[in-house]
Amino acid sequence: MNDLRERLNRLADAAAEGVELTPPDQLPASRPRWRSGPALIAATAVVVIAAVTVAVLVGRDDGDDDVAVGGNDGGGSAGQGNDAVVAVTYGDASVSTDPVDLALRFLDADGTVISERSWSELEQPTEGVPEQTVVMGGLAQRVPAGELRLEASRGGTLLPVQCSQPFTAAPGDRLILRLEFGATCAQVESVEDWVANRTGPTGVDYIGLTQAEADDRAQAAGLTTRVVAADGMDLAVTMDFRPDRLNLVLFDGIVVAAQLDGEEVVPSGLECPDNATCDTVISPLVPVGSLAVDLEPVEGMFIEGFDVTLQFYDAGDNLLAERTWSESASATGTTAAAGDVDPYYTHVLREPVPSGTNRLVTTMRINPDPEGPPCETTVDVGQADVARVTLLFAPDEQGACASIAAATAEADQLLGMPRGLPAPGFVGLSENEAMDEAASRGWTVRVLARDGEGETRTDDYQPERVNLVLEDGRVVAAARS
Amino acid sequence: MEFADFFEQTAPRLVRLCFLTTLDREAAADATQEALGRAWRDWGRVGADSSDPAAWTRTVALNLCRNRWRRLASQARLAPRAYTVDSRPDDLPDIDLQRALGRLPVRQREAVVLHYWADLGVEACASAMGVSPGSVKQHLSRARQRLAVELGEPSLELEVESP
Repeated sequence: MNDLRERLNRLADAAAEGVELTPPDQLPASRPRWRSGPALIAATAVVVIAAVTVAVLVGRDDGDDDVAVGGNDGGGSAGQGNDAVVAVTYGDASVSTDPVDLALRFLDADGTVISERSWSELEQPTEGVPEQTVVMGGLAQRVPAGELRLEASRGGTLLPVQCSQPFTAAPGDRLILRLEFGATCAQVESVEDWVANRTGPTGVDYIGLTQAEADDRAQAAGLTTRVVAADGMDLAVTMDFRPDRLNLVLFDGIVVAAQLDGEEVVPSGLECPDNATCDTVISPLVPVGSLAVDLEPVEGMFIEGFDVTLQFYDAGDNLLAERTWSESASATGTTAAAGDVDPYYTHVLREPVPSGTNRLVTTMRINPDPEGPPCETTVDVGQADVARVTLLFAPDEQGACASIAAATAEADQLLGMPRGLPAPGFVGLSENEAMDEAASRGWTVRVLARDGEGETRTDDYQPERVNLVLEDGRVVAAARS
Repeated sequence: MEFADFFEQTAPRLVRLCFLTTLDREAAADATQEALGRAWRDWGRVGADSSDPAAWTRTVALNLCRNRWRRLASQARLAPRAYTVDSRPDDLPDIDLQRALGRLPVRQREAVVLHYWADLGVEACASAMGVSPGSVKQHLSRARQRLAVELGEPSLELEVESP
């Protein structure tokens, strides 16, 4: 074993030769002040506007084009070399009743025009509301570092006015110029001040990603995303609370802050700040994964009063969150009482949990009957990964009340059975153990994938057949079909 | 501890750790630079006396290394890199070990590197990897079996990890 250590050492030493890192405090960008400034706007203080506008915004959240960049000579992709990026904002709301006739010119110290831009590049009509325009962010522009000036002129139906605002940009700076047309032409603010206190524990690992990367990562963790602010502008978003939603703040196409709904900055450990909802707060030092919980497939009518209480505990037996099925389903607009029986039963409840070992305690209830016995499931969740657990309506012959359907998101995808019949007790077994277990239950076995490679499969339905996904000789996903 | 001291102490070791888990010098430099950048941004909290900044940064770096998308992104992004990696494509030693490590699943490779190179106990490995100690033992056991075959060292299989 010492030989292995020595070989690892030699290899690592050789690889590290010629690698030069730059201390972050010596990078050209000014030091971020993530938590030093006052919260300019509480993350949960969002604006509710007309539903039609919300629909427009939600529709755009899934795209990559929320950030207005581009233009004739390029907006601001990430700062390059000695460049900086500035974003100009105008007004507090991202919706206006008339287009704003606003022309912008960026000039260097010699008075040479770097770029001419128009606010109309950002404006787009609101579908169904012809008198409204929507602006989805500030106007981003890449500029060379140095002493610069913004000239702005406003025309149209408002009082024509123009002004000039000098500003200094260091290489790598990310600045926001807030046009006021008052005593001050534009207030200059750093991105770091803009996003101060907007990053929650879960969001730390998203900073620096593109929106597409953040979406991918969030999806892998069982989260949805939406853009709540871009290039200095706070966007109009709904005020509903969804514990599995990550709110992104973008600047120049890059995530500069992110937090879950209701997740305020946590100073350290598991402390709960006064203004936070702490049932979803997880220590910022704890890597986060996600548990997805569904119900075994069932046919029939909705049983009045059916509900499930779910309690999530971490490895230290701390209660992380307590949910009910009905509340979780209704948060998605699904209520069995309203006739949405199938969506109610097929709902998937997702809960962020620390990666590692977690314990799920579920209790089913059918009023007026008393609650059933609590069902305990222990499941390992990987960092930024999703494990899926299927709850059984009644214990099976082996006494199992829940089944780990998939230990990882990748395994779940390879299994490809979001509504497969549960196969409790298989995940974690070796292939031989799984064969023996299946034989003891009178089931046949089909291996759907090994080590990430899918096998060919038929679509026939055989409830007495257990389908397995194997990784490194172990079952990582199992369901019957 | 001042961040500058932390950087000096941590960076060389973190680059090595990241290389052994990625077997990619560029990705290792990128992940290390990013992890240390995050530590610096949040130094008020990460560097507080009560926390373990080295463990925090190691976990962040491992997470960054594990994500293939990040390596791809690092190749595509426009921002200037804050690190340099000289080009020496073929002169790293011990190609057999590189191949053997490369054939291990990522989690097994992480467990081997953390336990046998970084000298972490099972509990510390589990914390760094975000899995249970039982999982770490399982990964180590399987990794030793594979390495024993790949490297032709049967004694590896008989090794028992320290707690």
